[in-house]
Amino acid sequence: MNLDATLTADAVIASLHPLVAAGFIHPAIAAGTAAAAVIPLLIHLINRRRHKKVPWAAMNFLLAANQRSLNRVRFEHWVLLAMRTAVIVLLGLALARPFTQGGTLLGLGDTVQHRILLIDDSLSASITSGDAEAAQLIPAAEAALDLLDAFPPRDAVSVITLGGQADPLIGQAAYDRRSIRDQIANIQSTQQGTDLVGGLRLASGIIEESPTSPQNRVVYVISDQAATAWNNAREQGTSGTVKAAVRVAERAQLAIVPTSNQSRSNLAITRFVCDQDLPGINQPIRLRATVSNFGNTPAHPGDLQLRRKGRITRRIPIQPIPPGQDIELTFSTSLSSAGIHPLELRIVPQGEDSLHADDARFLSLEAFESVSVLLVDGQPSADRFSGETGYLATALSPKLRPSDAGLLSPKTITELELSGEVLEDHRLIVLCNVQRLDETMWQRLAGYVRDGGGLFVFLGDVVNPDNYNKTNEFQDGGLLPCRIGQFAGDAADRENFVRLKSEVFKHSAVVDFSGTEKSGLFLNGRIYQHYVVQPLPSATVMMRYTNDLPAIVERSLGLGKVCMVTTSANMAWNNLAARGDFVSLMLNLCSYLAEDASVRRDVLVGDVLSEPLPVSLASQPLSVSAPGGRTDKASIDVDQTGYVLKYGPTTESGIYEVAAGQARWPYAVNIIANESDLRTLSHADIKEMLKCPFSYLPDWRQSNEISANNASAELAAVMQYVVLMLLVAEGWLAMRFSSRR
Amino acid sequence: MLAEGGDFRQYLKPEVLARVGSLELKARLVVEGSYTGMHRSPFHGLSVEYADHRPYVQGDDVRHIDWKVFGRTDKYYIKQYEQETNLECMLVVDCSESMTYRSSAVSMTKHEYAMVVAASLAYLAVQKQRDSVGLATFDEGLNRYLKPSRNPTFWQSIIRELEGEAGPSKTGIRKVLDDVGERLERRTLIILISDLFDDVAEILKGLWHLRHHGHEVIVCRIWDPDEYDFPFQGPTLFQGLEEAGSLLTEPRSLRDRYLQQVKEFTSRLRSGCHRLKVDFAPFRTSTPLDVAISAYLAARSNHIRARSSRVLGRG
Repeated sequence: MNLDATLTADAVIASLHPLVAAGFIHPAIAAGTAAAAVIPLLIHLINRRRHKKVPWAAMNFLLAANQRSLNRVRFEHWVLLAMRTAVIVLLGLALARPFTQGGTLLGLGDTVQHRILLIDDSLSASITSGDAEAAQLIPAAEAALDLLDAFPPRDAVSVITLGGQADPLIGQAAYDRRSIRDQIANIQSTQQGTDLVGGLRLASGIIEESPTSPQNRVVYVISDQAATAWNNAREQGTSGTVKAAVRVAERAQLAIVPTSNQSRSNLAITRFVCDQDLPGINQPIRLRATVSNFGNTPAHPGDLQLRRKGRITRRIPIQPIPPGQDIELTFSTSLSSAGIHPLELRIVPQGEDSLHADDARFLSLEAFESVSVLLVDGQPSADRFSGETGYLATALSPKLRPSDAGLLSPKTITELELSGEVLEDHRLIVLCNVQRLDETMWQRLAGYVRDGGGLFVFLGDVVNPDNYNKTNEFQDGGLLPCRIGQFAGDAADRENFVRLKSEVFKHSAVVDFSGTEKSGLFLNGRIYQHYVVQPLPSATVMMRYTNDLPAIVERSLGLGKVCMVTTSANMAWNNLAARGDFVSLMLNLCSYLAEDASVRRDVLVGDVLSEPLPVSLASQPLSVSAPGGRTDKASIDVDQTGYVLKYGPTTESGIYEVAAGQARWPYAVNIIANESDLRTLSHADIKEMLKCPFSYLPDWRQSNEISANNASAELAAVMQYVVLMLLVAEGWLAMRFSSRR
Repeated sequence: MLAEGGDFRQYLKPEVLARVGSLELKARLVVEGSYTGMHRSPFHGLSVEYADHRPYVQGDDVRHIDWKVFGRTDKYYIKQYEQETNLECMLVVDCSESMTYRSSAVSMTKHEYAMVVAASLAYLAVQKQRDSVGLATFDEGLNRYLKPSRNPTFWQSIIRELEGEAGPSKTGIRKVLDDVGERLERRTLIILISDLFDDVAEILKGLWHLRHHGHEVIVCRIWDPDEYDFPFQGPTLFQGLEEAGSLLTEPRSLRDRYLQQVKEFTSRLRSGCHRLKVDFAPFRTSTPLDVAISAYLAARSNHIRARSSRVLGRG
């Protein structure tokens, strides 16, 4: 055993005599007991104050009688008072649970220990050798069972699993070894990450309720010690983990039990996404993937296979990947039918690969045949390009040939027709120089956006800023991304203008325009007039003019998005529509705004599958086919928006297919990418990171030495016996004293 | 304490007097002439008022033969005279602070009880027996002193003196008894009414002094039931009367020893009185007055009768 405890104050205390080094499990009660010790004395004094007064004539007899018995009575009173005080003090101390350190006190006291086992059943910790697989035990469970055999029979045991979200499998101090053993043996790999922080916090909670003294509590972290487990992204690196571990070490002995003491090679697909917001059918769909080599030697993964329903549709060759590095791959595919399609990307490692579950990654991709966009023209004109929406409609649905059918399908109406439209029939609504809308219409638009729709606003000469700005006073965060102020520039003055400012754009909708300062949009585009706007704190400025004033501002609202261009959509205030990149910019922005973010069909193992269902599907029998061929029933919840499909949490990666009547659609469930990194922390790494006393137990069968060296004895039971004896003695003495009087 | 309107009759309790009146206070062996039976005076020449004749018997003094009657009837008759004072009684009443104690179980303080006893005896003596009665009240020393008188109206003077409240002073019995003894010119029946919370030896010395001067003494000790039984419970602060200090104690722990003290005190007092031939009569303030006085006087009457018989037998 390798004890890391340095000579701390605790160690000094432990080296003292047991009685000197005594402590309390509940120090607050001990402090209260010190105060309670004066209770009998107070009662005595209060009784003396609460006496009755009697004027007495035969005082000589009384004084003489008192003089004869005074000393004896006084002695008896003090004896009884001392005994009663001792009873209260000892009873209070027994409740405060005193203990000695480093052994028992003259052979008295209990030395029962509480062992809290944190078992890592995450994906990375579940890699088994050939021998262990025969026993169908994950390594951490195997180590836990060995430890269990080494513990003395009277010790209490608690068990916490760390896979996914830490779970107190046995959250109380348990003593039934057979039941504990069965529960540990049934722990299966979760295909999820390690929630070490959550596990340590649960252990702290169990420690709080532990029936034993701090020296008699041992927390075992049984894990593969993967670096990613300690480096928890949600807890800001290792600081959260270290803080939780130190908190445990302050109240218990902390023991690290590594189930794997060496890093292993692993090749994994850690990312597989679609780059497009609105994939269309029969069009190239751009996909992006990341393949990572977590080994110490170059990896030769062979081809990357793109599969649909088990059939390889494309092979993408990959160059050897240097050790510890990633490669990014971009490739395309096309889908011939509208709907949600399951895609699988798989590698076939040529060399050592410790973890196979991360060799494939899945994607649920919805392809659209047509996406309806509603254009509202504030100044319609018989001449297509004299109105507000002519250029925009052409940009969204360019028809180079009569047979061309664009993905976006614009429909132009006037503002008077807007109130008659069913907004939910369109994925995007574009307001172009609309003078004003009544509040009811604005409220409808706000609700439409919150439910996942997109709103795109172009300004112009007839816009009433006050009418637009009133939407910022709506409940639930307003609607538009900014407040509209005054004009800047003059559309009649064609000599003075600003341009769109070219820079490195960070927003995903315009990121493609980074570094294109030579394009016509930035080089020749002129903006003669625009509004000066004040973006809301929650808004993002996607593009600016060269005078640094916002040109395109966007915000998210509920499940939808709202975007505003501060100049006109036609060429009244600018010449952008005449620039070639205008089409790309509008397509990008409209696709981004029209994307339906209300449903996530790409989730991680452990997540719940959830999406709103129309009534027609909610009334159908619902089932979910899991990757292993298992079919389960899904449930339907009812919330404010209507019926919601619920299934899960999911337990393994792969494609889950939901069936509702004749309708079927897939969910892609992937493992968390961190779990593919099998690099482990060494003893020295953990020691440097924790900076608190802990034991490192590579050979965990020696773990009982911890208890042998540091066990402390609890004196509560002894004190209870003493209290009992004192009570009997006090009663007997009180009776005897009174009879003598 | 006299009731409103100065109605001293409340102390006389008619039903009490009815019982006491049937007893023979006259028979008490007191001072002079007690042994002569019904008011026979041991002194010659002091009788001036004719009362009756009786036949001469052998042994009578021939000087008392009425020769005029002999001349008319030729028989010897002795002429009898009524003596002015046949019994002289002095009531010595304690008015010290200790007499003010009263427990919740009784209706009178010891002082009130003593007043009733004294008034009753005074009434008996003056109104019924036509004896002389005097009164002395005391605490630390002698407060008031009324010389004995047989005037029927004098009894009301006694009552007025008894009406006074008990004072805040201590008890000083020996000095008082010495003083009373010095003031009395004739042998007198002295009735001491007190709780006797004083030194036993001093009390006995005072009694001895009275007896030495030939006075007959009856000691009436009046105590509250609490002082006999000491029934207190729970922490109690005893505030001593007569500046006796105070004591905060648990009474149950002291009760036995207190009662032992009382018993020793009473025993010493009783044996001392017996030795001095002083009657000792303990009263509780809870005891009905008529019963107590009647019982005592009955016992006293028997005692006097026995002594009278012995005296006449010798004469």
